[in-house]
Amino acid sequence: MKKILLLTSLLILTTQVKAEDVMQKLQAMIGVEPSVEVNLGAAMLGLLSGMTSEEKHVSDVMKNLTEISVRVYDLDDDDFKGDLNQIKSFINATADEMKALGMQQLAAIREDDSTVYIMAEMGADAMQGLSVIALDDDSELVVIKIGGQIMMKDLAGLMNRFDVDLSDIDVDL
Amino acid sequence: MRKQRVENQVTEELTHYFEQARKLKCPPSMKQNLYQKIGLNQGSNWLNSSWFKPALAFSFVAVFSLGLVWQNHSQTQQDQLATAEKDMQIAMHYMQKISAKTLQDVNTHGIKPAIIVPVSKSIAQMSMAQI
Repeated sequence: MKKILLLTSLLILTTQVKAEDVMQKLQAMIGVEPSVEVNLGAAMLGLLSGMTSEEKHVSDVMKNLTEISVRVYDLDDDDFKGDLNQIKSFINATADEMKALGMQQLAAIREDDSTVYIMAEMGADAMQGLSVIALDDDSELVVIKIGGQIMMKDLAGLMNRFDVDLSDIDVDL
Repeated sequence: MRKQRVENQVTEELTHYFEQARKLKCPPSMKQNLYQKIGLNQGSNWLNSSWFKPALAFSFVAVFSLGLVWQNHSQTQQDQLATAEKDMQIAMHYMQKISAKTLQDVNTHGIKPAIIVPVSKSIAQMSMAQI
């Protein structure tokens, strides 16, 4: 029993360290600060869940989330001096490593100017986490990590609930 | 005879005087002094006690301060919530953007990846409509 607990803790720790590592390595490779940085921990997601308590479905979905992190790097920025091919290779290698760790590849795009991976950490009956790495039009790199128990249809519900016209939001995109 | 008449008159006058005096109200300060002289402490009323006024002032300040702290805390929480909602909107915007991207390639299961989320979205919308 102790061994199983130890192995489970080690696996969770390894996965978490992995996600942090990917973001840190990318940051070091790109050499510019992200233009958008979102970090929502369990506490803030709990608060949001309370706020949406009237929408029970959305509230229930959010209760099961532990983390949402987003980094967006603007590669058109003059400060960007990195190598796009190196970044693409890193993304491909990272996706391979994630698959080797047992994560399931839900989607992948490998085009000349776009590289996208949507990777899921699967549990018994639901996803335990979702990682998205998207290099779009060689101009924007988006890294998203969603932690916690979630189902695809729930994620779609969240996207419907929260996706708004960002021009209404005072944020520098 | 004359002495008796004088005594009666004096008695009447004194009775009248004391009746009139009894009808007059004693001023509070005099009353207080009298109570003190005869050893009855009217100050047993806690409203007049020495600690009451400072305690009242302290309570007022404490309640006022607590109110300010509570309001500040509530405002901070509202601000945090607004920021969190904005962050969530940004996160979901990028999820939407990536999932809606038009794809030409197919994934390992032979399905266009972009189809996954739109299909699940429509299922979610259908199930919400049923509710």
